[in-house]
Amino acid sequence: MSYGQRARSLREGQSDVENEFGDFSPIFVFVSYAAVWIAFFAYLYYVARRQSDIRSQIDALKESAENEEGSEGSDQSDSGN
Amino acid sequence: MSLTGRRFTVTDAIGIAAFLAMLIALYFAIVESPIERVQGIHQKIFYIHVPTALVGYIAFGVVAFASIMYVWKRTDRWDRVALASAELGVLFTTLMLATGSIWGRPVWGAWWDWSDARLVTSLVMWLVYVAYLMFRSLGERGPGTYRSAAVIGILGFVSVPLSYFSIWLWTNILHPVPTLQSSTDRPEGSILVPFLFGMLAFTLLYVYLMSFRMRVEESQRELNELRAAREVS
Repeated sequence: MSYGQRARSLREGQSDVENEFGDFSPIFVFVSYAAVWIAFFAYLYYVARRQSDIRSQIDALKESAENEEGSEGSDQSDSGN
Repeated sequence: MSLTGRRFTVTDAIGIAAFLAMLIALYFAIVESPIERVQGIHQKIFYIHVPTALVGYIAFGVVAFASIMYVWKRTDRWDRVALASAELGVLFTTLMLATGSIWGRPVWGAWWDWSDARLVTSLVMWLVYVAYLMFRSLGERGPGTYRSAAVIGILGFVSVPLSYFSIWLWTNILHPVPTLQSSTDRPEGSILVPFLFGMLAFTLLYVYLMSFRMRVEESQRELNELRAAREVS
């Protein structure tokens, strides 16, 4: 029986179609649920890392801009003296 | 109110609600739902496969809507909404394809069937939005790329109804007509409740990830503006 016929038989609810892995083998269900939970946590981790990288770049840029402003100000005061 | 020294936001509240809803949905799907007569325990994959598929469709709908709004208003914020939603749509659709394939192996005896219109149209839809994300990552940030991306986002949405309605458009396919819409086979309450909890959980998760992802885009915009300001000075 091809899997197409098998699927149609399953859909029609014919009881003589046996499940290759047994009706109570939970491995496929477990893998499906685990894959979904792992994928969402992995994505959340990836986005959080990206956010933290961008924030640290922003902070570094702001800090260097402030330092430059500070050194320019001290240069001007030095030349004034 | 604060957690880890920062303000407790609406996004945090949605995140907690999504996590709790995911746990409740998991409990209903695994413990409370009945074991189906023909497919056995494998039918329980339905409670994650269908909600991930439907939320994926919603995410791509948001891409199309935000793209239309960008073309109309020319506001960068709409472009960021489209980009964030496309990324999430691809994530949900990837999970839909993966769980569907895992479900198909014990039930149909195959991981994949190229003669099934729902499988093929769903794969095409996924490829359209992967191409959209690739275009976004390769193109420069600017109005030209945003405009082209909006056109792809609008035209690409054609693949969504094509995937959804494929089970009615093509006859000889393995996917059954949705039970909720069949007049002859009404779902039992015990099947409907876990399904609705699954839908609620994944919708909340989408909203949470969307607001989290949008925050990254806002920070990226701030970084670009700072860099541009430095280059000018």
